Amino acid sequence: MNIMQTIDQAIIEFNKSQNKFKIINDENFELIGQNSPLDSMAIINFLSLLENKLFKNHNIKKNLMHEIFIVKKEKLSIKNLFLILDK
Amino acid sequence: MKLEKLTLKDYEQVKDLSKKYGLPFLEKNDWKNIWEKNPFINSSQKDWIIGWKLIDQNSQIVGAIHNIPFIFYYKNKKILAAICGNWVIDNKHRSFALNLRSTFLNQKDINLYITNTANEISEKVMEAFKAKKILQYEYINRKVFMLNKKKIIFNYIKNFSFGRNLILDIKNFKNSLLKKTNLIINKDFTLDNDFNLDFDELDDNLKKKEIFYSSKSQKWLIWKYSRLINTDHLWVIKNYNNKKLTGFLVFVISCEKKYKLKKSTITELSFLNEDSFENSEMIKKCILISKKLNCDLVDVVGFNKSKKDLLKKIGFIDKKTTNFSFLVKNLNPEIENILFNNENILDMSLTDGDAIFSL
Repeated sequence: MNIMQTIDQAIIEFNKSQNKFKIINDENFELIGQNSPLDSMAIINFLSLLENKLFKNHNIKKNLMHEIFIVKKEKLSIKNLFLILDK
Repeated sequence: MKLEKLTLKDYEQVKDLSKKYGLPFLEKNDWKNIWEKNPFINSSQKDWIIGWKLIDQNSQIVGAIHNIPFIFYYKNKKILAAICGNWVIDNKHRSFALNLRSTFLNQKDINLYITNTANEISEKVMEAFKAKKILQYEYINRKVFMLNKKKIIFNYIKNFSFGRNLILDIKNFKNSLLKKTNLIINKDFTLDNDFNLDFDELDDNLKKKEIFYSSKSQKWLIWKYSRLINTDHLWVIKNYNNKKLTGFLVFVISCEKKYKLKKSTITELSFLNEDSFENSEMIKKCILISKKLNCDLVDVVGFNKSKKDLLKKIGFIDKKTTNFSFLVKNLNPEIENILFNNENILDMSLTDGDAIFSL
Protein backbone atom coordinates (compact mmCIF):
# COMPACT_ATOMS: atom_id res chain seq x y z
CA MET A 1 0.00 0.00 0.00
CA ASN A 2 1.33 3.47 -0.88
CA ILE A 3 0.84 6.79 0.89
CA MET A 4 -1.92 7.95 -1.46
CA GLN A 5 -3.90 4.78 -0.76
CA THR A 6 -3.49 5.40 2.96
CA ILE A 7 -4.86 8.94 2.52
CA ASP A 8 -7.79 7.46 0.55
CA GLN A 9 -8.47 5.01 3.38
CA ALA A 10 -8.41 7.80 5.98
CA ILE A 11 -10.83 9.89 3.91
CA ILE A 12 -13.29 6.99 3.57
CA GLU A 13 -13.11 6.25 7.27
CA PHE A 14 -13.49 9.92 8.23
CA ASN A 15 -16.57 10.31 6.02
CA LYS A 16 -18.09 7.18 7.51
CA SER A 17 -17.37 8.26 11.09
CA GLN A 18 -19.71 11.27 11.04
CA ASN A 19 -22.38 12.99 8.94
CA LYS A 20 -21.52 16.64 9.48
CA PHE A 21 -18.56 16.98 7.09
CA LYS A 22 -17.54 15.31 3.86
CA ILE A 23 -14.03 15.24 2.50
CA ILE A 24 -14.09 14.85 -1.27
CA ASN A 25 -11.29 12.65 -2.51
CA ASP A 26 -9.90 15.13 -5.00
CA GLU A 27 -6.33 16.42 -4.96
CA ASN A 28 -7.58 20.04 -5.05
CA PHE A 29 -9.93 19.60 -2.10
CA GLU A 30 -8.96 22.16 0.55
CA LEU A 31 -8.59 20.76 4.03
CA ILE A 32 -7.50 24.17 5.27
CA GLY A 33 -8.23 27.31 3.29
CA GLN A 34 -10.80 29.75 2.03
CA ASN A 35 -12.87 27.00 0.41
CA SER A 36 -12.57 24.40 3.15
CA PRO A 37 -15.87 23.20 4.61
CA LEU A 38 -14.11 21.73 7.67
CA ASP A 39 -13.91 23.17 11.17
CA SER A 40 -11.00 22.76 13.59
CA MET A 41 -12.39 19.60 15.21
CA ALA A 42 -12.95 17.94 11.83
CA ILE A 43 -9.38 18.74 10.77
CA ILE A 44 -7.99 17.34 14.03
CA ASN A 45 -10.09 14.18 13.74
CA PHE A 46 -9.06 13.59 10.13
CA LEU A 47 -5.35 14.16 10.80
CA SER A 48 -5.42 11.94 13.85
CA LEU A 49 -7.10 9.18 11.81
CA LEU A 50 -4.43 9.60 9.15
CA GLU A 51 -1.61 9.50 11.73
CA ASN A 52 -2.92 6.16 13.00
CA LYS A 53 -3.16 4.76 9.48
CA LEU A 54 0.36 5.90 8.59
CA PHE A 55 1.67 4.05 11.60
CA LYS A 56 -0.38 0.93 10.95
CA ASN A 57 0.29 0.72 7.18
CA HIS A 58 3.82 2.11 6.91
CA ASN A 59 5.20 2.12 10.46
CA ILE A 60 5.67 5.89 10.11
CA LYS A 61 5.15 7.93 13.27
CA LYS A 62 4.23 11.53 12.43
CA ASN A 63 3.02 14.53 14.36
CA LEU A 64 0.92 15.88 11.52
CA MET A 65 -0.54 18.80 13.48
CA HIS A 66 2.96 20.07 14.10
CA GLU A 67 4.28 19.44 10.60
CA ILE A 68 1.33 21.08 8.89
CA PHE A 69 0.85 24.11 11.07
CA ILE A 70 4.49 24.98 11.59
CA VAL A 71 4.62 25.72 7.83
CA LYS A 72 2.37 28.76 7.79
CA LYS A 73 0.70 28.15 4.45
CA GLU A 74 -2.57 29.75 3.45
CA LYS A 75 -4.09 26.52 2.32
CA LEU A 76 -3.63 22.80 2.53
CA SER A 77 -5.09 20.65 -0.20
CA ILE A 78 -5.03 16.86 -0.37
CA LYS A 79 -2.21 17.18 -2.88
CA ASN A 80 -0.20 19.37 -0.44
CA LEU A 81 -0.82 16.80 2.26
CA PHE A 82 0.47 14.01 0.01
CA LEU A 83 3.62 16.04 -0.76
CA ILE A 84 4.28 16.58 2.96
CA LEU A 85 3.91 12.85 3.65
CA ASP A 86 5.86 11.71 0.62
CA LYS A 87 9.01 13.69 1.55
CA MET B 1 -6.18 35.36 4.31
CA LYS B 2 -3.36 36.98 6.27
CA LEU B 3 -2.12 36.15 9.75
CA GLU B 4 -0.74 39.25 11.48
CA LYS B 5 0.20 40.51 14.93
CA LEU B 6 -2.71 41.91 16.89
CA THR B 7 -2.40 45.54 18.02
CA LEU B 8 -4.21 47.64 20.62
CA LYS B 9 -5.88 49.52 17.76
CA ASP B 10 -7.82 46.37 16.86
CA TYR B 11 -10.06 46.57 19.95
CA GLU B 12 -13.36 47.41 18.24
CA GLN B 13 -13.09 44.74 15.55
CA VAL B 14 -12.03 41.98 17.95
CA LYS B 15 -14.78 43.01 20.38
CA ASP B 16 -17.44 42.90 17.64
CA LEU B 17 -16.24 39.51 16.43
CA SER B 18 -16.13 38.08 19.97
CA LYS B 19 -19.58 39.39 20.84
CA LYS B 20 -20.98 37.92 17.62
CA TYR B 21 -19.95 34.51 18.93
CA GLY B 22 -21.15 35.10 22.48
CA LEU B 23 -17.76 35.62 24.12
CA PRO B 24 -17.63 38.11 26.98
CA PHE B 25 -15.33 41.03 26.22
CA LEU B 26 -13.65 43.59 28.46
CA GLU B 27 -14.19 47.34 28.31
CA LYS B 28 -11.61 49.13 26.16
CA ASN B 29 -9.37 50.39 28.98
CA ASP B 30 -9.46 47.08 30.86
CA TRP B 31 -8.57 45.25 27.65
CA LYS B 32 -5.66 47.60 26.86
CA ASN B 33 -4.43 47.37 30.46
CA ILE B 34 -3.88 43.62 30.07
CA TRP B 35 -0.76 44.53 28.09
CA GLU B 36 -0.10 48.21 28.83
CA LYS B 37 0.08 47.59 32.57
CA ASN B 38 1.46 44.05 32.51
CA PRO B 39 4.45 43.92 34.92
CA PHE B 40 6.43 41.58 32.68
CA ILE B 41 5.97 43.71 29.55
CA ASN B 42 6.77 46.89 31.47
CA SER B 43 9.96 45.52 32.98
CA SER B 44 11.23 43.61 29.99
CA GLN B 45 13.21 45.16 27.19
CA LYS B 46 11.75 42.79 24.64
CA ASP B 47 8.70 43.42 22.49
CA TRP B 48 5.74 41.24 23.40
CA ILE B 49 3.19 40.22 20.77
CA ILE B 50 -0.26 40.76 22.31
CA GLY B 51 -1.90 38.20 20.04
CA TRP B 52 -2.60 37.40 16.42
CA LYS B 53 -5.39 38.19 13.99
CA LEU B 54 -6.63 36.75 10.73
CA ILE B 55 -7.50 39.31 8.09
CA ASP B 56 -9.65 38.58 5.05
CA GLN B 57 -9.40 40.09 1.56
CA ASN B 58 -11.56 43.06 2.68
CA SER B 59 -9.07 43.87 5.48
CA GLN B 60 -11.57 42.75 8.12
CA ILE B 61 -10.50 40.83 11.22
CA VAL B 62 -12.13 37.40 10.99
CA GLY B 63 -10.19 35.64 13.75
CA ALA B 64 -8.10 36.49 16.80
CA ILE B 65 -6.26 35.06 19.76
CA HIS B 66 -4.75 36.84 22.79
CA ASN B 67 -1.26 36.23 24.15
CA ILE B 68 -0.72 37.35 27.76
CA PRO B 69 2.50 37.00 29.79
CA PHE B 70 2.31 35.68 33.37
CA ILE B 71 5.16 35.02 35.78
CA PHE B 72 5.20 31.83 37.84
CA TYR B 73 7.69 30.76 40.49
CA TYR B 74 9.04 27.37 41.33
CA LYS B 75 11.89 26.79 43.79
CA ASN B 76 12.71 30.50 43.66
CA LYS B 77 13.05 30.44 39.87
CA LYS B 78 11.07 32.77 37.66
CA ILE B 79 9.14 31.05 34.85
CA LEU B 80 7.54 32.97 32.01
CA ALA B 81 4.24 31.62 30.70
CA ALA B 82 2.13 32.64 27.73
CA ILE B 83 -1.57 32.65 28.57
CA CYS B 84 -4.03 32.16 25.77
CA GLY B 85 -7.30 34.01 25.67
CA ASN B 86 -10.21 34.96 23.47
CA TRP B 87 -9.72 32.47 20.66
CA VAL B 88 -12.39 33.41 18.16
CA ILE B 89 -12.96 32.84 14.45
CA ASP B 90 -15.70 33.74 12.04
CA ASN B 91 -17.63 30.66 10.94
CA LYS B 92 -16.88 31.26 7.27
CA HIS B 93 -13.16 30.92 7.93
CA ARG B 94 -13.25 28.23 10.58
CA SER B 95 -10.63 26.02 8.93
CA PHE B 96 -8.06 28.73 9.80
CA ALA B 97 -8.77 28.54 13.55
CA LEU B 98 -5.94 26.06 14.03
CA ASN B 99 -3.42 28.43 12.44
CA LEU B 100 -4.11 30.92 15.23
CA ARG B 101 -3.79 28.30 17.96
CA SER B 102 -0.62 26.87 16.43
CA THR B 103 0.99 30.32 16.20
CA PHE B 104 0.23 30.90 19.88
CA LEU B 105 1.64 27.51 20.87
CA ASN B 106 4.90 27.82 18.96
CA GLN B 107 6.51 31.04 20.15
CA LYS B 108 10.22 31.62 20.32
CA ASP B 109 11.67 31.60 23.87
CA ILE B 110 8.41 30.45 25.53
CA ASN B 111 8.36 27.09 27.27
CA LEU B 112 5.03 27.22 29.06
CA TYR B 113 1.61 27.80 27.50
CA ILE B 114 -1.57 27.90 29.56
CA THR B 115 -5.29 28.15 29.10
CA ASN B 116 -7.71 27.76 31.98
CA THR B 117 -10.92 28.64 30.16
CA ALA B 118 -10.91 25.83 27.61
CA ASN B 119 -14.29 24.67 26.39
CA GLU B 120 -14.80 21.21 24.96
CA ILE B 121 -13.43 22.21 21.54
CA SER B 122 -10.37 24.15 22.69
CA GLU B 123 -9.61 21.29 25.11
CA LYS B 124 -9.39 18.88 22.15
CA VAL B 125 -7.47 21.39 20.03
CA MET B 126 -4.91 22.01 22.79
CA GLU B 127 -4.46 18.26 23.17
CA ALA B 128 -3.95 17.85 19.43
CA PHE B 129 -1.04 20.29 19.74
CA LYS B 130 0.41 18.17 22.58
CA ALA B 131 -0.88 20.24 25.47
CA LYS B 132 -2.06 18.21 28.47
CA LYS B 133 -4.56 18.50 31.27
CA ILE B 134 -2.83 19.41 34.52
CA LEU B 135 -2.78 16.66 37.11
CA GLN B 136 -4.46 18.26 40.07
CA TYR B 137 -6.67 16.75 42.72
CA GLU B 138 -10.31 16.97 41.60
CA TYR B 139 -9.78 20.02 39.41
CA ILE B 140 -12.95 19.03 37.53
CA ASN B 141 -15.00 19.52 40.72
CA ARG B 142 -15.63 23.07 41.76
CA LYS B 143 -16.51 23.59 45.42
CA VAL B 144 -19.69 25.40 46.29
CA PHE B 145 -20.98 26.72 49.61
CA MET B 146 -24.71 27.34 49.45
CA LEU B 147 -25.88 30.47 51.22
CA ASN B 148 -29.34 30.75 49.72
CA LYS B 149 -30.25 27.07 49.57
CA LYS B 150 -33.89 27.57 48.55
CA LYS B 151 -32.97 29.71 45.54
CA ILE B 152 -30.19 27.36 44.42
CA ILE B 153 -32.38 24.25 44.63
CA PHE B 154 -35.24 26.06 42.86
CA ASN B 155 -32.81 27.09 40.08
CA TYR B 156 -31.49 23.54 39.87
CA ILE B 157 -34.98 22.10 39.36
CA LYS B 158 -35.85 24.84 36.85
CA ASN B 159 -32.74 24.20 34.76
CA PHE B 160 -32.52 20.45 35.23
CA SER B 161 -31.05 18.53 32.33
CA PHE B 162 -30.86 14.76 32.00
CA GLY B 163 -27.14 14.90 31.36
CA ARG B 164 -26.55 15.55 35.06
CA ASN B 165 -25.76 13.07 37.76
CA LEU B 166 -29.03 13.28 39.70
CA ILE B 167 -28.02 10.85 42.46
CA LEU B 168 -24.79 12.71 43.19
CA ASP B 169 -26.58 16.07 43.14
CA ILE B 170 -29.27 14.86 45.58
CA LYS B 171 -26.57 13.46 47.87
CA ASN B 172 -24.74 16.80 47.78
CA PHE B 173 -27.89 18.80 48.47
CA LYS B 174 -28.80 16.46 51.33
CA ASN B 175 -25.33 16.80 52.87
CA SER B 176 -25.42 20.53 52.55
CA LEU B 177 -28.94 20.85 54.00
CA LEU B 178 -28.20 18.60 56.97
CA LYS B 179 -24.74 19.93 57.74
CA LYS B 180 -24.63 22.64 60.36
CA THR B 181 -21.59 24.80 59.70
CA ASN B 182 -19.86 26.48 62.56
CA LEU B 183 -18.92 29.90 61.26
CA ILE B 184 -17.59 31.31 64.53
CA ILE B 185 -14.15 32.82 64.09
CA ASN B 186 -11.59 33.80 66.69
CA LYS B 187 -9.22 35.89 64.63
CA ASP B 188 -9.47 39.50 63.53
CA PHE B 189 -8.53 39.84 59.90
CA THR B 190 -7.77 43.00 57.97
CA LEU B 191 -10.14 43.69 55.09
CA ASP B 192 -9.20 45.60 52.00
CA ASN B 193 -10.11 46.03 48.35
CA ASP B 194 -6.59 46.75 47.19
CA PHE B 195 -3.11 45.23 47.55
CA ASN B 196 -0.39 46.96 49.56
CA LEU B 197 3.39 46.51 49.67
CA ASP B 198 3.10 43.76 52.32
CA PHE B 199 2.32 41.37 49.47
CA ASP B 200 5.90 41.71 48.19
CA GLU B 201 7.29 40.32 51.42
CA LEU B 202 4.75 37.51 51.45
CA ASP B 203 5.63 36.70 47.83
CA ASP B 204 9.34 36.56 48.72
CA ASN B 205 8.54 34.03 51.44
CA LEU B 206 6.32 31.97 49.14
CA LYS B 207 9.22 31.74 46.67
CA LYS B 208 11.19 29.80 49.26
CA LYS B 209 8.53 27.10 49.48
CA GLU B 210 8.51 24.18 47.09
CA ILE B 211 5.35 25.26 45.32
CA PHE B 212 4.54 26.27 41.76
CA TYR B 213 2.49 29.45 41.76
CA SER B 214 1.79 32.67 39.88
CA SER B 215 3.37 35.75 41.44
CA LYS B 216 1.57 37.24 44.45
CA SER B 217 3.63 40.43 44.47
CA GLN B 218 1.77 43.72 44.77
CA LYS B 219 2.31 44.76 41.15
CA TRP B 220 1.07 41.45 39.72
CA LEU B 221 -2.01 41.37 41.95
CA ILE B 222 -2.85 44.99 41.15
CA TRP B 223 -2.53 44.19 37.46
CA LYS B 224 -4.71 41.07 37.63
CA TYR B 225 -7.50 42.74 39.59
CA SER B 226 -7.06 46.29 38.21
CA ARG B 227 -10.66 46.63 36.99
CA LEU B 228 -12.01 45.56 40.39
CA ILE B 229 -9.68 47.41 42.76
CA ASN B 230 -11.39 49.81 45.15
CA THR B 231 -14.81 48.53 44.18
CA ASP B 232 -17.16 46.41 46.28
CA HIS B 233 -16.60 43.55 43.80
CA LEU B 234 -13.14 42.81 45.20
CA TRP B 235 -12.48 41.68 48.76
CA VAL B 236 -9.10 40.91 50.25
CA ILE B 237 -8.90 39.19 53.63
CA LYS B 238 -5.42 39.62 55.08
CA ASN B 239 -3.98 37.62 57.93
CA TYR B 240 -1.24 39.40 59.90
CA ASN B 241 0.93 37.83 62.57
CA ASN B 242 3.34 40.11 64.41
CA LYS B 243 2.60 42.79 61.83
CA LYS B 244 3.68 40.50 59.00
CA LEU B 245 1.32 39.37 56.28
CA THR B 246 1.29 35.57 56.54
CA GLY B 247 -1.72 34.71 54.41
CA PHE B 248 -4.54 36.14 52.34
CA LEU B 249 -7.75 35.24 50.60
CA VAL B 250 -9.27 37.12 47.68
CA PHE B 251 -12.85 36.81 46.55
CA VAL B 252 -14.72 38.49 43.73
CA ILE B 253 -18.44 39.28 43.71
CA SER B 254 -20.24 38.74 40.42
CA CYS B 255 -23.56 37.73 38.93
CA GLU B 256 -24.13 34.34 37.37
CA LYS B 257 -26.32 35.44 34.45
CA LYS B 258 -27.66 32.03 33.40
CA TYR B 259 -29.02 31.11 36.84
CA LYS B 260 -29.49 34.68 38.08
CA LEU B 261 -27.40 34.01 41.17
CA LYS B 262 -25.18 36.46 43.01
CA LYS B 263 -21.96 34.67 43.70
CA SER B 264 -18.73 35.15 45.51
CA THR B 265 -15.71 33.44 43.90
CA ILE B 266 -12.56 32.68 45.88
CA THR B 267 -9.68 33.37 43.49
CA GLU B 268 -6.68 33.48 45.81
CA LEU B 269 -5.88 31.53 48.95
CA SER B 270 -2.24 31.64 49.96
CA PHE B 271 -0.50 31.22 53.28
CA LEU B 272 2.91 30.50 54.70
CA ASN B 273 1.87 28.01 57.36
CA GLU B 274 -0.30 25.17 56.07
CA ASP B 275 -1.29 23.98 59.52
CA SER B 276 -2.53 27.28 60.89
CA PHE B 277 -6.15 27.37 62.14
CA GLU B 278 -6.34 30.84 60.60
CA ASN B 279 -6.48 29.39 57.07
CA SER B 280 -9.93 27.93 57.57
CA GLU B 281 -10.99 31.05 59.48
CA MET B 282 -10.19 33.18 56.42
CA ILE B 283 -12.56 30.97 54.42
CA LYS B 284 -15.24 31.31 57.11
CA LYS B 285 -14.74 35.09 57.09
CA CYS B 286 -15.28 35.06 53.33
CA ILE B 287 -18.54 33.12 53.81
CA LEU B 288 -19.74 35.57 56.45
CA ILE B 289 -19.01 38.62 54.29
CA SER B 290 -20.59 36.97 51.24
CA LYS B 291 -23.70 36.31 53.32
CA LYS B 292 -23.85 39.96 54.37
CA LEU B 293 -23.51 40.97 50.72
CA ASN B 294 -26.57 38.81 49.92
CA CYS B 295 -24.64 36.36 47.78
CA ASP B 296 -26.44 33.12 46.94
CA LEU B 297 -23.31 31.01 46.98
CA VAL B 298 -19.54 30.93 47.42
CA ASP B 299 -17.74 29.27 44.54
CA VAL B 300 -14.20 27.88 44.32
CA VAL B 301 -12.37 26.45 41.29
CA GLY B 302 -9.09 24.60 41.73
CA PHE B 303 -6.56 24.64 44.62
CA ASN B 304 -4.56 21.74 45.98
CA LYS B 305 -5.84 18.78 48.00
CA SER B 306 -5.15 20.23 51.43
CA LYS B 307 -7.05 23.44 50.61
CA LYS B 308 -9.90 21.41 49.10
CA ASP B 309 -10.05 19.32 52.27
CA LEU B 310 -10.33 22.52 54.32
CA LEU B 311 -13.21 23.70 52.15
CA LYS B 312 -14.94 20.33 52.47
CA LYS B 313 -14.62 20.40 56.27
CA ILE B 314 -16.29 23.79 56.36
CA GLY B 315 -19.25 22.50 54.33
CA PHE B 316 -18.45 23.14 50.68
CA ILE B 317 -19.94 20.58 48.32
CA ASP B 318 -18.69 19.32 44.95
CA LYS B 319 -20.13 20.47 41.67
CA LYS B 320 -18.73 18.73 38.62
CA THR B 321 -17.87 21.05 35.74
CA THR B 322 -18.77 20.10 32.18
CA ASN B 323 -15.21 19.91 30.90
CA PHE B 324 -11.63 20.13 32.09
CA SER B 325 -10.66 23.71 31.39
CA PHE B 326 -7.00 23.82 32.51
CA LEU B 327 -4.52 22.74 29.85
CA VAL B 328 -0.80 23.30 29.61
CA LYS B 329 1.86 22.80 26.98
CA ASN B 330 5.14 22.58 28.82
CA LEU B 331 8.62 22.38 27.34
CA ASN B 332 10.45 22.99 30.63
CA PRO B 333 11.62 19.66 32.14
CA GLU B 334 12.06 21.25 35.59
CA ILE B 335 8.32 21.70 36.08
CA GLU B 336 7.04 18.67 34.12
CA ASN B 337 6.83 16.61 37.27
CA ILE B 338 4.90 19.13 39.32
CA LEU B 339 2.41 19.80 36.51
CA PHE B 340 1.63 16.25 35.53
CA ASN B 341 2.89 13.70 38.06
CA ASN B 342 1.57 14.33 41.56
CA GLU B 343 -2.09 15.18 41.85
CA ASN B 344 -1.94 16.26 45.49
CA ILE B 345 0.68 18.99 45.21
CA LEU B 346 -0.36 21.19 42.30
CA ASP B 347 -2.27 24.27 43.43
CA MET B 348 -3.64 25.97 40.32
CA SER B 349 -6.82 28.02 40.27
CA LEU B 350 -8.65 30.71 38.32
CA THR B 351 -5.87 33.21 39.07
CA ASP B 352 -3.33 31.20 37.07
CA GLY B 353 -4.78 31.90 33.63
CA ASP B 354 -7.10 34.00 31.53
CA ALA B 355 -10.14 33.04 33.64
CA ILE B 356 -9.18 35.82 36.02
CA PHE B 357 -10.20 38.38 33.38
CA SER B 358 -13.69 37.04 32.88
CA LEU B 359 -15.02 37.09 36.44
